[in-house]
Amino acid sequence: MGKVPFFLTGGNAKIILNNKTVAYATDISYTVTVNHASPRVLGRFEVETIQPLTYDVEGSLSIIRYGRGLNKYLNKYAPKDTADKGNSIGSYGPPGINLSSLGLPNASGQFDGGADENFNPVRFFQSKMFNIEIRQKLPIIAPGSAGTGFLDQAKAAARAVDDILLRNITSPGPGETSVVLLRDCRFTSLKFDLTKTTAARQTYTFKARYMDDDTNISAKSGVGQELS
Amino acid sequence: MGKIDNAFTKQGTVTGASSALTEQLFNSAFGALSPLNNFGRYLTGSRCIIKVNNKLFGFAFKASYNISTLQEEIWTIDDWTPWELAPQRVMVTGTLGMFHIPGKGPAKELVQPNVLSFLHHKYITIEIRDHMTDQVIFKTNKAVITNKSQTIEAGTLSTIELQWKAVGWFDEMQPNFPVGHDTSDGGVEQVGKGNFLDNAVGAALDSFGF
Repeated sequence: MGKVPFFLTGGNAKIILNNKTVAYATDISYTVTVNHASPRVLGRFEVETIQPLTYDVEGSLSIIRYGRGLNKYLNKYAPKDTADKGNSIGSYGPPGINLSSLGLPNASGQFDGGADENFNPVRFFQSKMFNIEIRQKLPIIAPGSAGTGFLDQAKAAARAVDDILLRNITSPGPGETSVVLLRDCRFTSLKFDLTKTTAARQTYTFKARYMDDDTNISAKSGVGQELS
Repeated sequence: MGKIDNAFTKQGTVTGASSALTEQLFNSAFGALSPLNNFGRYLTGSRCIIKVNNKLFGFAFKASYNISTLQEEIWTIDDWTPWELAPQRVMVTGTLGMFHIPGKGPAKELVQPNVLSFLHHKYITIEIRDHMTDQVIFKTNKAVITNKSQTIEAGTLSTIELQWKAVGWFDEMQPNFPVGHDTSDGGVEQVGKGNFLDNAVGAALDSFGF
């Protein structure tokens, strides 16, 4: 009898950037830093307390880079799921019409963050912050139908109301679960590497405002500060 | 596949959102104020909010103030130490550092007078408050902006520094005459209802707008 992988690895993970899957990603890492002050007072060796001062999230993400518009020449050799529009920064835009530019969410209720505009100077002021999400793939199990009892039906109805009233910021499809969500990101650098011995690789560094994970949702401090 | 129970899916439910809200309110309301909590003992910039004219200045990043309670040394002939330190003046000055949000400059927000309102501009209020404990750190109800300097430079955010002067101030303690302090003339014992000093306290606080 086979065994299903339990732990999160590169093999069973998926990266969602600006609500789209990042294909041919090779690695991602992030660091949450909370700077602290360590006040020392006279008459004592140890610090008096360790006081938080600032909260920062930053990280990096790498992909294997491939060229654009190669399908008509190399289609039969192209690996599965490679997009003809390539996979560099310009491919991270939203599909179809960008409703977010009008301040509207897309069909899935998400706001596009304009990650594709982060390295084009003329677009800097239109580009908005975006989210990076790490998901774990799971075996797909057929959803059980709600029981016929009154309580089962009531629970199903409550869940449906929940889904309508408060949309989860992450909305994984069947067979996936969200593990990490880096909210309100912007790319801060793009680095391209091509050597004779490896495939071309593109590395992005980013900063985020918040780090959420499946055990912790970060909430903003200083309520109302942004709007004043 | 059924819904996985984690922080994300809880966030997407009414019950999860309300319990998270309750937890945050509980943490912020009691956690910071608990006498057992020694963690937030020292004041930091991140826990201070600034209000000008009772309006939150969320784009401010720095505040400083200087309170001078000047005392005159009374020198007399045939004495080599001052005979007395006589109260002279109280001066309150300070600065506010902020980012510039276009359309929300100090003049637009009616904080600094413009060339025509200069003679008749109202005093402004400045309040710095610890939002963890809601305690006032500094407040003045009669301040005026005396100087504004702005820096606009390629490669950095534009910043504004306002310098101000104020008449009177209060902080963690409301102003009052000293009670219980030892004085040579026993003046504090004279503070009582209806006497001269008591009336003077009220008049002084009124004049400072407290």
